[in-house]
Amino acid sequence: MSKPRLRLLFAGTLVALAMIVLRLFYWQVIAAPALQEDARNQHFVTFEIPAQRGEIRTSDGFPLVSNKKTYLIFAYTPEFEMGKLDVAAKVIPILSPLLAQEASPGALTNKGEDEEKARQTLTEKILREDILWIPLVRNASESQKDDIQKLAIKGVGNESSYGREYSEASMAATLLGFVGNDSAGNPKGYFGLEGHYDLELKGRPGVVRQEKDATGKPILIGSYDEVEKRDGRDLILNIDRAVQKFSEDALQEALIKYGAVSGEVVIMNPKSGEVIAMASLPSYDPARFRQFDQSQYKNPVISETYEPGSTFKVFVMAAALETQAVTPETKCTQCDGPLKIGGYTIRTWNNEYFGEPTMREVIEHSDNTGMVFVARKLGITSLLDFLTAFGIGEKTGIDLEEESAQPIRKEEDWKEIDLATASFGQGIAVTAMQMVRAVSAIANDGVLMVPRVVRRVEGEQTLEIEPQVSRRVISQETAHQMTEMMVNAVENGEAKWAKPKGMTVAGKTGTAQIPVQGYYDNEKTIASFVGFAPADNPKFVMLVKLREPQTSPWGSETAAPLWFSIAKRLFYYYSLPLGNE
Amino acid sequence: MEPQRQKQYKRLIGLCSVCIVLLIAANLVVANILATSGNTLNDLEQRKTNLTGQNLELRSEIISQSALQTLAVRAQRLGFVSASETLNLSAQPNVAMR
Repeated sequence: MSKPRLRLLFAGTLVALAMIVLRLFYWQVIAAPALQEDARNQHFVTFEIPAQRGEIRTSDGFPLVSNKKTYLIFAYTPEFEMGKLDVAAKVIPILSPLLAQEASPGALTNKGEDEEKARQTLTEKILREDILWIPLVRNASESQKDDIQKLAIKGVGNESSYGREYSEASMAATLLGFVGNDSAGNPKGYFGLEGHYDLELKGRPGVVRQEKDATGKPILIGSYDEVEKRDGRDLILNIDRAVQKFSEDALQEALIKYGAVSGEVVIMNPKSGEVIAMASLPSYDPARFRQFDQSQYKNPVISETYEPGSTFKVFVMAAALETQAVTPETKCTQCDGPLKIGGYTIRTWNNEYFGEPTMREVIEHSDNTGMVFVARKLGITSLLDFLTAFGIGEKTGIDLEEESAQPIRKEEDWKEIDLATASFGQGIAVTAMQMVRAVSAIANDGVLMVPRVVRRVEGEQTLEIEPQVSRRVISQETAHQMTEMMVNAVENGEAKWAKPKGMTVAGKTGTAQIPVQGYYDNEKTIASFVGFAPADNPKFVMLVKLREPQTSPWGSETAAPLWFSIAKRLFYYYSLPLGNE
Repeated sequence: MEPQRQKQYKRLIGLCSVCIVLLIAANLVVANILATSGNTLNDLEQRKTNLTGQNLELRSEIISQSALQTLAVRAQRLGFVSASETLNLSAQPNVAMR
């Protein structure tokens, strides 16, 4: 072979070798991570084992909130074997009704319009170019998932997870809260118990990484890694399902009967602080929370403040008795007519005056002028001290999300008229829960408890939630004196007609005007009744509150009969003896 | 090398060859069994998932059937009505017991 030919062969071999080296460099270095990833995907399968969210059960163990299996339908565009529009055309007939149901405000809107919107949304989602993995619909049912699977569209898959099921529909909805999604799309509890106990309830999903064969089946002797799932813990409530049901039913009837805008019923065991029932209407369906206005999510019992009116008188009187500013037999020396304070005139609710009534009669007649007399005897400093001790102006510490409290104004901001109006529960704001808790202190021999909805948290470790004492507010003697005055108010006061025979109840009616833009609206009132029974050994404290009743503005004619109708059922339910009358 | 020893080596090599063939065969059999077991494992996991799902659905059905709302509707359909009047028995013992 000639020399030039040998050189050419040598050069050719060098070039060929260089090309092989370069190609090897590409496969070994540049493409290595991607190839390793492909190899891993071919050899291993990784899947998530969803954790079950904890159940919420009533005191009898019945699950008010349990779990059901739901599916997330997704699209992974790189795996599409047909055009995006073709994929959209196939999945939309199955998924658009579900998406419409999730997003629409229910019966308030047109179903056809909603489905059209859902079709547009789904098409837009599938046509997106900026993301590869697209969640199409959450909360799909087993049958919807099967329908999608039957289409056998490459690139459209599903992931199972657990959704919430509400066996008693909207019962105790504002108490329970609901489960939505956080910004990353993970389930998260909002409001009520779901919000407050989210960390306990949610658990942690598990992950399995397993070697698989060419057909995708697991290899028994292959590598296997597992991070075990941890299911959420269950909540066992103090809420009694039967009491909750008949309280809500009675409240629903009362709203219609009295034409009230809204209403609340709270029932608590005064000795332990256990919340037995908490009803508020109108409510919402937590399974379809998106279909309701967000203002309905909050529990008004703990988040809405109102001026309590005459029900508040029991705290002012209890404070005066405790400091011995008055006794039950002390006579009011300024109760023979309206009182003028600053530019304001204080009258009794019916403009009737009783000369020199005793303190017992002041509570019995719900006498505003008598209460001003008591407040003056007590003084602003003592009044504020006792109101604070009763828990007015502070959060009750109940185990629910979104509790609010309006702090009491500072002493230097109080004027004489403020002291006068506060004595009969106007110009001061409380929540229904604060009222129940404070009255419970009178029923519980003067000891204030922390209200508790949850009795036990069950799971790998069980946590018992014991009754918690806040503090002593008044002495046992004062509590008994106040109880006796409240029993007298029920026996001889305006609401005596509503009380069933044989029932010994300590209670107080309240009718408060509603402030609207700085003035009290004469037409709109909040009617309420708070009390406990049996008076000598209380088993329950109950508050009934009706907003803007139309048939009568008075608590004695609306809230009180509702209170007694529920109390009657409670007496039967707890087998409490009715005395002879 | 002595013919006796040569014979022994040949036997040893033969024995080793037979062992290797047997081990290969055993490996094939075990691999085959394991492959089937993987399949069985997969089936068992599928069954477990299905049974868990069914259990959840049945439990959900029981809960739904024992919900107060359902019971109230069923009671009404069967003709049960709320008591309009309730008789309260006194806690006092009757005459014969005095």
